[in-house]
Amino acid sequence: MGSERIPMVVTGPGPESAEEEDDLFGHHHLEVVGILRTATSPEGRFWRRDVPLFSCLAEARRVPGLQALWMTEPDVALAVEALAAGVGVMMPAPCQASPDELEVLSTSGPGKLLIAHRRHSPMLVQARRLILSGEYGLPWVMQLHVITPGASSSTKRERTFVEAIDALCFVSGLEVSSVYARTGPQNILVGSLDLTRGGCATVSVATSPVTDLRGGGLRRLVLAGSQGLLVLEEDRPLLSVRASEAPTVSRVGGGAAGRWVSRGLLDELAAASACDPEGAATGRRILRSLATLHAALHSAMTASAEDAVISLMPVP
Amino acid sequence: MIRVGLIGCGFISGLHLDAYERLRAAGRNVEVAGVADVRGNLAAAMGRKYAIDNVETDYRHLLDDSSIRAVDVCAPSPAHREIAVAAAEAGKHVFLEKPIALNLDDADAIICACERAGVTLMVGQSHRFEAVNQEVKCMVDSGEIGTPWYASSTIVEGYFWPGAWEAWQINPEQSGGNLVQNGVHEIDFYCGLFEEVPTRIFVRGRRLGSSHLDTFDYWHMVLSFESGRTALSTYSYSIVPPDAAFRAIYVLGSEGEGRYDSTSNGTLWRSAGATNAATLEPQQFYLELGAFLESVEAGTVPVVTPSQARLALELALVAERSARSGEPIDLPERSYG
Repeated sequence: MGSERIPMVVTGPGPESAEEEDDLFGHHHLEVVGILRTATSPEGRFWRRDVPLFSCLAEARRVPGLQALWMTEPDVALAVEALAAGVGVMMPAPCQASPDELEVLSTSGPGKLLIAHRRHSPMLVQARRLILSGEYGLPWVMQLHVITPGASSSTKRERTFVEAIDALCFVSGLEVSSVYARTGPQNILVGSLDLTRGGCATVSVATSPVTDLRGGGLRRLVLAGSQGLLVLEEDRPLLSVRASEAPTVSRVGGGAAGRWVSRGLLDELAAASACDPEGAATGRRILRSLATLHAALHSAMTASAEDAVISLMPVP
Repeated sequence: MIRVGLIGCGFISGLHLDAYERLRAAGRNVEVAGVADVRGNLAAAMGRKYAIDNVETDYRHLLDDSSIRAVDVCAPSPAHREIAVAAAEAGKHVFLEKPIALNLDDADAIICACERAGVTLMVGQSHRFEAVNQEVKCMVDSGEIGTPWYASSTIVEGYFWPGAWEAWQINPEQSGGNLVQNGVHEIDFYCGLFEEVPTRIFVRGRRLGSSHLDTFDYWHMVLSFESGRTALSTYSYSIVPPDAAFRAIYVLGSEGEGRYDSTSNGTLWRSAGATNAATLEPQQFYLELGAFLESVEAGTVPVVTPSQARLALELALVAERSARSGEPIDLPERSYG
């Protein structure tokens, strides 16, 4: 990647925080050259920089060398248009998209598609590193809780679930083969997953009414492998439990995990937009996590016991 | 004075005998008057360790002892019906290790025999006596976290049953399967926590220790309640290394949450605008057997009622079926009591 910054347009209601906006506008390899305001992306919470406003992608593409589009809310039609124009796209998981729309999205190009994930969170980076070290052997079973404080919405639940599924696959190297799920108040979504190679896992997503970010909710991964037991918790001291040794306690991250995630995604988008043929683009993989979400929601809604466990399409 | 005859001298009996010693030390008027096990060496060893002179290989000798008012049955589950019915017919109050039996016919026979004889029957659903679980129950009942909608408990351990391939616990004919043997604890706890009976059970099981195991040494269970509540229970033995252990519980309510794990130095973190901590000590068998003795002394219905123990078994049998079939199983709506 050269020293010149890659032109990027941002769109959507805005980032989660002012800090995230700082990261967007201050990235080493990406330069925000304008804000795209469409009918579905009105004036946002944090878009307050003095950059040009565009009313459509065609107008934005007049910027010489435009290569990247950052969405803070998914817009499938706009993403397909951008990808076809060779513009790399980062978008949150389009949980409301139909299977047909997802299919179109997954085959669009030549721009690279990146769908938001949390693999850059300190907890998952640490987990992946430890699993790949071999110290814990082969992942057998996992339990992931992502109970987040703050406002509750089904959109947030579904996006969190997709990211959680992707996280488990990322950490373990396994894929989901079937799912049984249950939904409940406070946007609870509990998934019981069959994984490839005989693995299995649970994912629990919900919203906690406790709004103190440090004190409320639960973001914890428990992984039992053939050689050891791994327990990692985000935003709290992390514990690696190997009882044959003295348990070691360490804190990683030390800040809001979301910022690590957004910075990592920006790096990925820059790499994908610059030259990396694969980039770190995870579009197709996240689309599979979306399929798991759809199966889970179908399972939760299905009254008959026979239909509650749904086999998914083969790994792409 | 309540003189107790303890029948079955396997692993769990030692925890019971320790608890009786603590109860005596705390001033409770109880004495273990004899122990029995068909494996005479085990009974003798237990007698030596706890200074109990009356050591038998035939439990019926304890039933013949008129000074013994109650029996504590720690024998494997298949023996429960014979021993409990005989004890009731001999006029002894009965404490039974969980599960009450391996099938509902046996459970009903035990309950009927105790009712007919007018003796107390209590089953050792010990998890509800664990300090953290009691604290969680108090937290929920107080309304501190509003309406509880989700709860998750996690027990993962390197423990494996003693006896290797000969362990009765890994033989489903002897144990009913791990969902009956240990799932019964979790089911009983959640029914009591929510005071509601699940209407759907789904279990995924795995054989971590060996694919040749006839029982699931790992399972997770999703309990669905008509109210909209959900409970997730994760239970595993055979974790590596053998001394690994992690326990946790989390309850999410409409107005707060409670969170405990075994790395938090016995603290239940509660957040309903504030964070409180309670020190929790392991004392489940002490509390459980104390509750049994209280009910014998007072002639009251024990805190674990026979119908609750039967319900836990019924649901555990369903859970075992779900684990083996891979299918969720629906249950009729009914009240908890």
